[in-house]
Amino acid sequence: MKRKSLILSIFALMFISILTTNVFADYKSFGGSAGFLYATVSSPNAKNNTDPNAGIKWNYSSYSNHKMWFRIINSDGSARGSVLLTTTSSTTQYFATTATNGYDYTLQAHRENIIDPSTYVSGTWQP
Amino acid sequence: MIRFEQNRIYILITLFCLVVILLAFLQEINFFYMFTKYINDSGYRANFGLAESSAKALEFTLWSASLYFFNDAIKHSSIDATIIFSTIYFQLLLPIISSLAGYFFYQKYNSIYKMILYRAGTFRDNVIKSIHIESFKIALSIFTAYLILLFFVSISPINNSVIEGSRTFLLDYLGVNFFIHHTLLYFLIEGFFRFFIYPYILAFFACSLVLLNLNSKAVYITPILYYYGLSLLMHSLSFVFGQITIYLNPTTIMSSGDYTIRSIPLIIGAFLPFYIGMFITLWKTHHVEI
Repeated sequence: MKRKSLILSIFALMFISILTTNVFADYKSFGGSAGFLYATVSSPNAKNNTDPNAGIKWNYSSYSNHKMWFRIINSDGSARGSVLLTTTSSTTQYFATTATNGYDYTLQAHRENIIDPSTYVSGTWQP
Repeated sequence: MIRFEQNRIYILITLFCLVVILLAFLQEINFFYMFTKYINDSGYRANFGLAESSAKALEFTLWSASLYFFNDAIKHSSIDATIIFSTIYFQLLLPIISSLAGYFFYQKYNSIYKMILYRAGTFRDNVIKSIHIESFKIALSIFTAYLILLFFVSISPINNSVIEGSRTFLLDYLGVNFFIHHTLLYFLIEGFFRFFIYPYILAFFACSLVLLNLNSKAVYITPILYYYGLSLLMHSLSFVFGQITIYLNPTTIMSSGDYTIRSIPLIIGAFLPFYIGMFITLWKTHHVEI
């Protein structure tokens, strides 16, 4: 009986740990200015998960109420996924990528309209 | 052959638009970044191709590295981002190209061709018809380049997935599902507005200025100043009056993904140069008869 309880406890602990593990534990901060052309706004960040989605929490902009394109690129410079965020948010937005677990990616940002001013954006992200 | 000679300038405009589209596409896929890094950065060169692989399968040359990068980028591009950003420089170039119609019409209007306008029917009808023809030719030259882009996108292995919210124009009527499931058809319709109707409107405006007896430079430059000037003015006023100003901003229709818009007010606002052009035409051809 004791053995059965022990096994059940172990399974319960494993279940709880799976539930509480954040698959996007490797969030890093980003920050930089971007205008009409794509600009790199982060240092390289390693993808340490197999989830096809990347996560980004864009929580600050030097202008209010505007959309912003973000994309991740690999170390060759080739894009692996893009997202168009409509506003800054305190929650994480997820977007589909074709990034591979174990490799480094960089975040780039830009605005679509040519008259959009260069804008400082920051937040956290994980490929 | 004569027809080809007459239309050579329009063929050149289409080719120019295609070159712009190609350069914008290469920039969108980061090709210029890769190319310059590969030439200048020995570390980048040594690690090229290892971005997502621990084993280097190929010994690269500049040419093979470029091809590898190009193919890889196409495989990972999305259809909407490719079309949107391959045409992004037309936000700048559209008035510069469209205004050529005014210059061409100026040349005609101030030549022996003007006599034709007096010969058959009413002067007003002939002037309006000539302006429509000139505007149509320019608009068709630009739209043809866009159609060629759509053709290449449709046959390329570009990913069919779309990015939510990347376009908003007409989706208040067509619906987001139409954009997701019929993306190319959507871009054909949207592109018809952006690369045929809108250049047509700007060209019509440019041609109408000829009737004001302006010189050829003024005819060419005025629509460009209108486009850039109103864009900057509306952008500045947006800080005071908010989103309402986007409907009068000429660049909005060219970058609708940047805004959440309602299509009908945007179309009405985009037609502003046409109303002005039509007013000038009707005014300056009033009671002009021989």
